[in-house]
Amino acid sequence: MRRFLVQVIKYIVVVAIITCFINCIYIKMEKSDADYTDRFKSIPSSIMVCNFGSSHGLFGFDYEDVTGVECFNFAFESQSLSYDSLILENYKGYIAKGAVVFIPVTYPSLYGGDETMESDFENKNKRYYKILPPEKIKEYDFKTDIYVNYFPALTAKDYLIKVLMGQSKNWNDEIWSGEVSEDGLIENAQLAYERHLVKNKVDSNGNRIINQKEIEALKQMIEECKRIGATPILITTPFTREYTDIIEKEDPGFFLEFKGMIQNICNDMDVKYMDYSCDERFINDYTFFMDSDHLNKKGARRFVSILMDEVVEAEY
Amino acid sequence: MLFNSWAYAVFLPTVFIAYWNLKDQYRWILILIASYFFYMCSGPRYLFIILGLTIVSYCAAIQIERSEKKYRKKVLIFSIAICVGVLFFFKYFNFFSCSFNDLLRICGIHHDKILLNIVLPVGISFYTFQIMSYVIDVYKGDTSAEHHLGKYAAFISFFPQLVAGPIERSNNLLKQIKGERKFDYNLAIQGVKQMLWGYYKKLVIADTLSTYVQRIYTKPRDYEGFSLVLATVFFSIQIYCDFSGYSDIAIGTAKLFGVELMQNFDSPYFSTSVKEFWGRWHISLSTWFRDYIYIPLGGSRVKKLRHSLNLMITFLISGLWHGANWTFVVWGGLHGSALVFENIALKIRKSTDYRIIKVIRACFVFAFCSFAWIFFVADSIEDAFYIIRNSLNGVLNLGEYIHNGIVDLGLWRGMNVVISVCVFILALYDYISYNKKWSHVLNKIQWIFYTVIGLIIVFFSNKGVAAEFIYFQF
Repeated sequence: MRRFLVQVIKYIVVVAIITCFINCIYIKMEKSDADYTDRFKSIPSSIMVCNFGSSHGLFGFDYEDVTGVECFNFAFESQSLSYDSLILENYKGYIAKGAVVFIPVTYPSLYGGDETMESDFENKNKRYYKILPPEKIKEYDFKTDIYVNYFPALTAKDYLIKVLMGQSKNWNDEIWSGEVSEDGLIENAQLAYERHLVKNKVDSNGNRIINQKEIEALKQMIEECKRIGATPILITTPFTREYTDIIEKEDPGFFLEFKGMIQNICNDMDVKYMDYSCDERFINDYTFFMDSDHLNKKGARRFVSILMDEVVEAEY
Repeated sequence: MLFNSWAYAVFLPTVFIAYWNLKDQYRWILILIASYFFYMCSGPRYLFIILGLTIVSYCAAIQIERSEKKYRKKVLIFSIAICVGVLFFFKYFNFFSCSFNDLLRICGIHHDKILLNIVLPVGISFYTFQIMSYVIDVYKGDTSAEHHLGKYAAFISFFPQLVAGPIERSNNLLKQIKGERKFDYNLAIQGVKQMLWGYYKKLVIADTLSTYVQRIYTKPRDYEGFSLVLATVFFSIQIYCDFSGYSDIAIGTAKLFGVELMQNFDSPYFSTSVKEFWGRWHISLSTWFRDYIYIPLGGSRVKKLRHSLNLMITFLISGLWHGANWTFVVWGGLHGSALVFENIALKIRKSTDYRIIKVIRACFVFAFCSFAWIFFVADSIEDAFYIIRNSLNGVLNLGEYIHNGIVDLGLWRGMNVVISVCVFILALYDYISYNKKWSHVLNKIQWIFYTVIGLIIVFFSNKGVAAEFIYFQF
């Protein structure tokens, strides 16, 4: 039996050594930053302008051209307001007194059920293991923590091969640098509308589900910003006309309902709301968009320069 | 407790170490405790069912052995009725109640359905069949009744094969549990290798393919064309890897305890006829049906028409054994019909076959089995017919047909490569097992091979909640 156990242990050790070796190579070679967490390794120490939000925040704010002021983008794709709030809570020490904090309130952000029930939640949630402590991670799981932070190659699956072959790439970055094509824009807007306001956003009777938890998280963020001496500003990023038109056509009362809800929050919390969704400088100019509802790199830079002129300067 | 859970990774080594450190005469006690603990992990209350059936069959077998011929038959019928009754109650009551209700509705009689709100106890189809085979074997005089209740209970509940087989016979397993065992290094190493291969099939291939199969088969009406074909082929591979993977882990685990269970799968997709397929697929169940249903019905030693009827009856029951749904009955019926067809129409002598003919026949058998699996995996017969009707939509534009199917299934390029390589390794291994003359090649490179398999499991298995085995639901 001893011989058997030695043999089994030998086998396990060999597999473990090769696994660690491949994992190290993977960590060294994987530079694509596909989940956009690398920026958290170098957060400026006294941020004066920052933003949170989902993909509309992530792709809508590019501070590269801003000089002399420390800026930071805390947004992630499909990030909920409750996670915005958790990130703010964790990184508030980096935000300087008097800073301007943009909190994007896009249409999907206030509707729908609990995000932990969504099918892609587990996958989406992994990025927070890299930037948040365990107590701030929803549905925290120790195993996932180990995989994400120490053995990322074990959950990379087919991406592992791409990385080892030197073919890893952040596809979103490439798309972000490009421009939307007019062909298929209406279909794209239709899909975005369904994803944002229909799928998982309405109950069995067809009524939109207002997510009170997310609204509470938004209010908490506003309070937290004020507590640290920052100015929170609710904002809706620019969209193409096609996207707005489809919502108007499919759901005529939506804008009234959404703006009413935001206005109530603004009145309750004494906070400013800037709506750029139909801004004439963007709405008809496709060169500023990567798809029907997301700005591209050029659009994000233009948007930030407008904000710096119109909002940030006014605040100082 | 699942074989692919962390709990099992702790449970197995603990029981293994304790087992070989115990004196031989006490090992059955450990096996029994470990087996009941293993079973209780999937629901403590179900233990009473297996305990009850064990005691009933234990007493029945002793009574059969002691009694006169006339009385023996009554005891046999009684014990079989208990087993079938329990199985019927838990597995088939709701199905027959719904079917009866549908029949009444067709006749214009409206009647409220009587449905039981119960969960199917894990492995009930497997251990009731094992119990029945034991009692029947004692009745036929093929084996003697076991007088040691503890050892008999350990035979019925032996944890590696308790929840999804192989369905063992007392002549094999009970004899080994009762017998003296010394640690056999070669057998244990063989067991580890077989377990590794089983984990590879389950964790890497079956679990990966299940994502794509589920996407299509949960809402088949949202899809058409090649995605339906691909999902069906994927299911053929998934179910094979899932179930044979389980069997390999079970057989491998048993080998660690010095017990050799029967082979349950033998490269079934290389079969050149449906008959051969059933000699290689779920062998323990096929032989059970052969010995306890098909042969008692007369087998093949009757007139052609009766022989065909015997085949159909056996396969319809086999279909129903798999699940309480008409889709399973149709699946069994299809296989029965194929065997009847082969018996009547095909008189091809194997020896005269060219290799190319064998390959073509194996492809046909695989295509037929995949077609039949549609009924096995679909939620309803209507869904199955939808899939059959719409699988070839757009086939005339072949390039687009294939491209759309791959896109609908959500198969990314990288994943295509991973799946193709893993399935290729599976096919190669199965071919080597099928065509024994190449097995020396595998023996020469076995440690490299199993290290690669281990690494594939580590890197490409699904991480997260352990996925259940398909056959657990039966």
